[in-house]
Order: sequence, then C-alpha cells, then structure tokens
Amino acid sequence: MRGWRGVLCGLLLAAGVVPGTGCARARSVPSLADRFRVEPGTHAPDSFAAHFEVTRGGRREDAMRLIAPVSVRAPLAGFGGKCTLRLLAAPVFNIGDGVQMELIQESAGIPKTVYQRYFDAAREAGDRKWIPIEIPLELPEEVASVLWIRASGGPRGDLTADWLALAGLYVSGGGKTP
Amino acid sequence: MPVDERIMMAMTRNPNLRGFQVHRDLAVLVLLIVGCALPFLSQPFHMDDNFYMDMARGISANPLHPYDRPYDFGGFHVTDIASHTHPPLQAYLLACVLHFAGEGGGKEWIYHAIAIMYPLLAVISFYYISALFVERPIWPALGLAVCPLVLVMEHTIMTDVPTLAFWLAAIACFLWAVELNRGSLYAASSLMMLGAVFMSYPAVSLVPLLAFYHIRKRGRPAGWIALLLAPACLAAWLGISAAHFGRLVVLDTLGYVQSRGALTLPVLGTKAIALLEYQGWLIVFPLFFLYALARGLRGRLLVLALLGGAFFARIVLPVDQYRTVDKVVFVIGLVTGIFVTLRMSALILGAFGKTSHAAVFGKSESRFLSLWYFGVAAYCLFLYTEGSARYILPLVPPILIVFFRGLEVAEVTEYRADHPPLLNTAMVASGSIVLSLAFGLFLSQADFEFARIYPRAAATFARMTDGLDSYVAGEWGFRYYFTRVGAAPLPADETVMTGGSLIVTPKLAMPYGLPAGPDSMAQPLSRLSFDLKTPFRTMDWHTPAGFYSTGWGLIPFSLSRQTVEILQIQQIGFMVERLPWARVESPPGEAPWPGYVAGRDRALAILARPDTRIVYPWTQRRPMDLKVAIGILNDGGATDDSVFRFAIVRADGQGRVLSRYEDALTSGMRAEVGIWRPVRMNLPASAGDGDTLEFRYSALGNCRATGAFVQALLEPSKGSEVR
Repeated sequence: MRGWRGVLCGLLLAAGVVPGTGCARARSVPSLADRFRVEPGTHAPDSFAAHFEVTRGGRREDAMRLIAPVSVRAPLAGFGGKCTLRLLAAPVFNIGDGVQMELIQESAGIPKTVYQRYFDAAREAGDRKWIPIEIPLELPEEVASVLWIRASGGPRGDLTADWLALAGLYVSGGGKTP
Repeated sequence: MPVDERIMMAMTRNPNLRGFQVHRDLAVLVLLIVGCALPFLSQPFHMDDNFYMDMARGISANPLHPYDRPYDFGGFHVTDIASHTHPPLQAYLLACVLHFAGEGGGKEWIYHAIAIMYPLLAVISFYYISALFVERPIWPALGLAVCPLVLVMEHTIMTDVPTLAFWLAAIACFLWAVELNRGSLYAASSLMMLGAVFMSYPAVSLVPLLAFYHIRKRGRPAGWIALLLAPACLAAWLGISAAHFGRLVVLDTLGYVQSRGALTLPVLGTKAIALLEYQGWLIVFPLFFLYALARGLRGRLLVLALLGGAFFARIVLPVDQYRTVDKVVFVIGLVTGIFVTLRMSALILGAFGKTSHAAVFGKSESRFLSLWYFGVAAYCLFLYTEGSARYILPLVPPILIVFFRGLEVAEVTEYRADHPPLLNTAMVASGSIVLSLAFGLFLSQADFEFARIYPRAAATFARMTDGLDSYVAGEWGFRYYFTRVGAAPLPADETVMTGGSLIVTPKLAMPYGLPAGPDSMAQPLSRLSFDLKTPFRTMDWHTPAGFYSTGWGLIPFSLSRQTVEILQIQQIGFMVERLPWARVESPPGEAPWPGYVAGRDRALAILARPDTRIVYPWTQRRPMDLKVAIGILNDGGATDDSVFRFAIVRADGQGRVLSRYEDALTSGMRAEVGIWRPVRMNLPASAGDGDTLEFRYSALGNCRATGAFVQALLEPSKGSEVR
C-alpha cells in the first residue's frame, strides 16, 4: 500500500514536469548564414545580422539581414567543383529607391561576380515576396574560395530602408556537407 | 490520534445534509452568487473570450473537428488549432448558446446569465466538500462565493470557472460517494470529471488526487471505474484527433509550452512570485490571512516578514516600473502568499510526517487537502507558460477549508482564553467575507470598465472609417469587437493589405508588430485613448498590474488614474502601396520613389523629379477625401525664380476630369522650400473600369528640385454612400 501511495503522490506532483520532455525540433537544413562575417570597422555596427525574422508574402523566414552599404564574406571551405548556391532573397521594406545585391566568388584572390540583381519592392510587386535564387558555382578544388555578398543603394542614392534579407542559404552538390 | 484531533473529528462526521440549515445555507449562497453576478451581466466579451467565441463559430462549420480550421493569432498563422491549450467542451457549450441566441447587439448578457450556473455549481459543490472538513460549511462556501478571483472571473466565458465548477462537483460527488457508499454519486463524479478534463487538460490531475482518497478510505471498486472514465475518454479524443490531424496534438501543445521557456529559472521564479501574489491578494482579503496566520512572536514575525518582503522587492522589482504603491501591493501580496504557503506546508508536513502538529483534520483529510494544494501549485508552476490569477482557481478551495477550519479551532481556544483577542474569530470570519466581497466587487468593476473600452472603441472606429478595409493587430475583446464591425485579423499574407487599408494597434490588448513591408508603408491616421472611472487596474501598461498575465507585471492589481488603453490607427499609404500598379511617366532614370522627407517627423512621401506623371487606377466605390501635403525638397535644385507646379486629377474611364487640384509653388527667397502645403480634395467614387487618380509634378525652366507628395491619406467623405 505504501508503494501505491508514493506512486500516486509522485504522479500528482510530477504533473508539471511533463513539458520537460524534449519537443524542440532540430534545424535540419545546414545553412551558410552562420559563416558570414562583416569586415570589421568598415560598416555601421548594425549593418549585418546573421539571424533576423522576416515575413514576406506570408512566409516567415529566419534570414540574414544586410543594411546597405555593406559587404559580408563567407569561406566556402568544404566545397569544390560544380555546385549550386540556393537562397531566398527579399528587400525587407517596400520603400526607398531599391537595393542592389552582388554575389562575388573569390578564388585564389581573383574576384568574379557570379550574380547581381536590383531589388525594388517599392515599384515592383514581385519583389515584395521571397525570390528564390539559384546560382551555379564552379569552385576550384585546390584553393579555398570565399563568397562575398555586397548590398548597395539604389540609383537615386537614397539609402532609406535599404535592408536586404537572405534566407535559406545553402550550397548543394560539390563536396562535403558543411 | 491526538486528543484534539479526536474532538474535532467527532464534530465533522456525517453532517445532516438534508436539514433545514443546509437548505437555508444553500439559499443564501445562491442569492449571494446571483446578486454578485447581476450587475455584471452586460460585461462585454473580454480577454480570451474572443478565442472561445471564434471556436464556437468554428463548430457550426465543422462540428466533428472544430479545431480543423486555419487561425491567425498574435500575428502568427496556423493551419489548424488542434494543439491549442484547451479541449473543446467550452467551445461546444458556447456553440449551443450561439446557435439559439446568436451574438452581437448586446447579447453578451445571455452568455453571462447562462454562465452563472458555473459559480453556482462550484460553490454548492464546495459547500458539500466543506461539510466533510469543517463544522460550518457555509463559511468556506461563502468564502468561495465572494473570493475576489472568482468574482472577477465569473463574468467571462473562458474555461477557468467552468473547470473549477466541474472540478469541485467531481470531488464533492466522489467524496460523498465514498462516504455514503453510493454508486449513483460515483457515476455523477465520473460525469463531472469528464466535464473538467474536457474543459482543461490539467484537470486530469483530479484522477490521482481522488484515487489517493479512494485508497485511503477503502472505497468501492466502482470508484475505480468512475476514476478511469474521464482519462479514457480524453485519451480516445486525443487518439481520434491524432488520426485526423496526423500528429499527437497535445505534443505540440507541450512543445509550445517548452518554446516559451516555461521551465527556465527566470520564468519559474516569475511564476512562483506571481503564485504567492495571487493567493495573497485574491482569495481572502489579506488582512485576515495575516491576522490568522502571521501572529507568531507576538506580531514581530509579521513585521520581520514585511521588512524581508520590502528588501526582496527592492532587489527584484525594476525601480522605474514599480511605484511606491505598487511596491506596497507587492510586499503585502508576497508576505501574505508566503504565510498561506507556510500554512499549507505545515499541513503537508503534519499529514505525511511522524508527528501531527497541525491536527485540525484527520490524517487522510490533511493529506488529501495538501496534495490538492501542492498538486495544483506544481502544475501552475511547471505546466503553464506564465503566471495568471485564473490559473490558481483550483487551489483556492483547500486554502479556504484550511483557513476557516483554523478559525473553528481557534474559536475553541479563544473560548478558554483569559483575555479575548483584538479580533475574535467570529469577527475575522465575517470580516473576511465582507471585505473580500467589497474588494472583489471593486476589482470586478475595474475589469468591467476595462472590458467596456473595446465595444466603445469599435463603435467609434466604425463611424470614422465607414467600411474601409481594416485590420487589427491585437487580441482579447479588442479583436472581438473590431471584427464585429468589419475589421479582420492581420492576414497571414501581408501583401493582401492594400493601399488605403487601416490597421488598428492597441497599446494594451496584446499588440503585435506589423510585418516590415506594410509597416514601412503605414502612416498615422488617428489615435483613440480610453480612461476608466475607477482607479483600480487589473491590467495596465502604465503600472505593473498583471491580473491576467505576468507579462504585464507581478502584482494582481494596481491603482492609477492614467489612460488605460490607446489605439493607434494607421493607414497603408495608397500612393506607396499602389505604386507598382501605377502608370508612371518620368524622364529616363528618374522614376518616382517612396521615401521620407525631413521635418514633419520623417513623413512618408512619394518623391518625384520634375515632369513626372503618376496615374493610379482608381477603384474606390465610395467618395473619398484625399489629404496630402505638397512641397519641394531642399536638395539644391531650386533657385530664387523657380516655379513648381503640382496637380492632382481625378478622371473617369473616358478621361473626363471629375475633380481637380492645381497649385504652383514658387521658391522666391526659398521661403517655400521644405515647407509642406496641405491639400484636401474630394475624390468622386469610381463608376467602373478605367477611372484614374493622377499626380503631376513639373517645374519651369531647368530646375530639377525634387517634389514631394507627403503623407497621402484617404478618408471616406462624410455622408458618402457606397456605389
């Protein structure tokens, strides 16, 4: 009878411990976002954030946020050969004269623009949603490559609200999983 | 069993529950409950009432799976609400009322009148429970009927008082089933337990609690069947839900609790302090708890406790948020709550220890009451994401039984004492009822006035906006009443909020931020503020009053004379939002763009170079008033003899001008550069396809100064009718 009592008391008092069981979902997609670093001293302190929640077109993403003008770089160690860089991009705000994005692959000290796009959410309705982007890369096996992302102002030079969000950055193919 | 205990137990066995005294007691209780509820029958739907009304409406759409519907809450969108925190019984009951009575037009009183059955069931059940623990069960039952927490909560349609009612009814039936060995009472208990667990998941803890009593009292085997029915039905319902939704819905509920950091030390600390505060202030007026429980060391114990509480308050409370009056409320609540917990701790120590130093109940009764109290306290601490006064409702009854039983015992001692105390037990008992009732009514009135803000606000808003697309960025009664006048919760896809739409954001009613896109295009239109007559606050943003949630503060109420709610009304700038769909003519490379202009608090404007035309399709089916300011940026392009022409033209599909504004600004001695000229013009309703609203900006000569159309707002024309 004593055992029963203990079990029942334990059940009652342990009712609150139930949520302690692990329910968190691990993030399963390896992202490049945590590799990026802003060059110190050259930009405003808040011009880069690796994780920033952005909702566009009803889709909320944990995104990397760049405030123009800024350049960030990420080593592409572990990747080589032909591969594809995939990401979602969107300007954060719907005002201003737009923001220019450039992706530059630097291998053996030689920079090469692999992608560029002008985002103008104020005047292009399509830019008010996440835009999927796929960029084929050819990374030399023998040298380490670096990926630069540069965000700069629009044609009027108005830097108002020139925030760019990049989500789900990952490289597929071309080597080991980062 | 000690002598004292034997004496006391003898008085509480088998009271005659059919006598005249019982009928008289019950009549008093019923009159009291109905009397307390009547003044508040018209209380508007408040706090999470809105959520249960939404669910009740969902039942008529999908009666078998009412949770299988998308929902927007707190700025988040979910595809179904199966994993929300309550099972569906209350939603089904409300759906019945909704079906027969409808809603709107002041019909809240019907819901509240029907809901009086819950406090009645709770208090009458508690009377019968108390009859097994005290000599005069009327006192604890009166205590529950006037408990400030119950008084405030019984004017809502949330699940808390219904859960308490079913909880107490289940216990009353079960205890008396064991006592009288009657099968029908086991069956009734089982039914009530079913009601409780389908109101609120934590009510499952009734099963081990009553099982403990069943074992101690060697109840009939039928008791086990009665105990197992409710959890079996709940498990079946969860199984059906799992099959329908393809997941174990309650796991997501627990995941949500965990995601809110419910078990982190700071959150646990906050909930523990809040638990003490709520039980210190909201069960019995604290003066009487302190008088009955904190008189040790000839009153010095209380002084020491208050000093300790003041020191603790100085450490934990942010100086800028807690005024002196808030700190006083905090310290009194904390100290009272601690003494209540100490009293219940003494009970559990006496019940499970070798010696019984608090022998006011039998061992089994002490154990039952202390397990009841600490079980509920444990799930309040560990199962909920935050502290809220309503969560502690199920732990009120054991405290009341222990308090009034303590008074009964003290009465015997007092009778033998040489010197009568300052307040005798009769004064403490009746005083605690009267002051708790008065305090509870003050708080109820404060909550009532608070709830009434939102229907008033919604009516004002409806008159202002005359049916423009509107969205709300808040919850509670605010959301209910604004959606009743045509506003919608913020949509999952923010791009559906078009230019000219209104967004109302409350200061208090769980405001949530707009997504950055629409937020960048939103312009302030108006502000509504609301005051209360009463100085009591159950929730506030000036003070840390957190009756409904510790998110607002650690004290259950506060005092203030400041504005309690401010509603910010913004409009999504149509010139900015509709720009992608406008036809633009401008010099090459000089397309207009939306940006801020200096002065006027960085107002949002469409900026354009000279010789620009922006032609918007005009689809508004009602006459509107356009309010905009025009001006020139001080960007170096203006010379002393510059002349700038602005025109706004509303034309129909054939190009006929329906209304027109035209003006010229001269820079002269640059007096007008950077100064905004207000424009107000009437825009006739659209008659069909092809209607336009055109903005033109030009400059004479070679001047290239940037022109600005600043803060363009649309308002329905007064007395307008939709075409």
